[in-house]
Amino acid sequence: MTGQVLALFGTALTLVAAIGVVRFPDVLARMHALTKASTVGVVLALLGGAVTLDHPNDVTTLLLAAALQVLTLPMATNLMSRSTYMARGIAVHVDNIDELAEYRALEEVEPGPEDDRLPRHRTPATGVRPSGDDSGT
Amino acid sequence: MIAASYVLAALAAVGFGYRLVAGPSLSDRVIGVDGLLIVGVTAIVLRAMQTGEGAFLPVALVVTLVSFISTAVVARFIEGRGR
Amino acid sequence: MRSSVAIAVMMLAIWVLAWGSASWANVASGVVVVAALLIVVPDARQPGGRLVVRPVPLARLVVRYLGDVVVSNAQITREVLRPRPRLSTAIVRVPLAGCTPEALTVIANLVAMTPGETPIEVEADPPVMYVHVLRFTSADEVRRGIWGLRDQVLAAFGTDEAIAAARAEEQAAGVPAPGEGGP
Repeated sequence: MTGQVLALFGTALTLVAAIGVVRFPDVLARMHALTKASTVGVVLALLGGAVTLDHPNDVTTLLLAAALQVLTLPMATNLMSRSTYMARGIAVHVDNIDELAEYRALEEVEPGPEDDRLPRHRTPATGVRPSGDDSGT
Repeated sequence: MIAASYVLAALAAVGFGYRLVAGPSLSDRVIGVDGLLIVGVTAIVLRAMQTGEGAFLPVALVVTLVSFISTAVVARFIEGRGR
Repeated sequence: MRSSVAIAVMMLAIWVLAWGSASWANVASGVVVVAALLIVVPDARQPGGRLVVRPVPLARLVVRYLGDVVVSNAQITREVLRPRPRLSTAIVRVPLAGCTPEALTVIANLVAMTPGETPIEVEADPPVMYVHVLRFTSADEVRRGIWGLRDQVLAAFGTDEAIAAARAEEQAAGVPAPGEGGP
């Protein structure tokens, strides 16, 4: 009984996350909704299952899945937020101050081939490695 | 009560699916896919609670790990490609 | 050497949990797999630095994390059910002195669950975090909130020099120490 109540709360919270993902106006705000609400929603559902099921194999599998969700889901969304912000083609709307943009303009950091924090990658249009190699077309 | 949970999970899946289809950028679609995988894990657990058989539960574990890795890889891809 | 044994034990525990029961076959195969992994990946043996753990501040940090989880979900629920979501976003730069990369990882994951904030970019040298805020009031308030979180994380995990460096940075910005009150 308590397991089913927990699972109900969990799915309700996942539904709140889904409504947030549909309604929020900006892509970074949608990531807020995903990290916070759906992580807790899925962990509650997994804990509800762990309470309901009897066999110890099932309980340990569910507890391990819950621990992995808590560890990995916020981190994956952090990576997505960073990449969405850094990608030049995606419009990110910030209402007030944006100190990261000021810092990047100040340092003239360009996420391109000269940037040694990012790995070298192919230019998507031509597929030529941007390392001064002239053998491509 | 499990039936009510199924209904809520289905509505959540519709919401995430809308974002997958309509999202103006690739990041929105990744959010939709991530949400759909989460609803999938929830559905696996609800089914196990309903039937009492836990034969399908390791799938929930694997889906968790796979969704994390695939989200991380697509994040790298978005950053490199810029769109 | 001791930290790699701790890591091996943790990986073995995860392997046995994934298989379900702690039978001899599971434990033996787990030992083989963990040993093979630690031989093949030499970086996994020595996580950076000594590990300092103080249990009472760690318990306080866990309580704060759980409280933040509840508050942030309540906030998201209220924001979602409002007929017109009122969001006023901003990105704030928060310098975090005294933080090793491991402490920065812990702080970033905790900020991801703090009501209204997610980390956008984290740099290790010098330690800086850029935070995306949903309801923006003032940059100083955001900074103070995250400095409070940083103090709790360093109290649980940090060396004494790190705590002193953090304290020095806060004093330079004019934040009073937790013991001293206002006028």
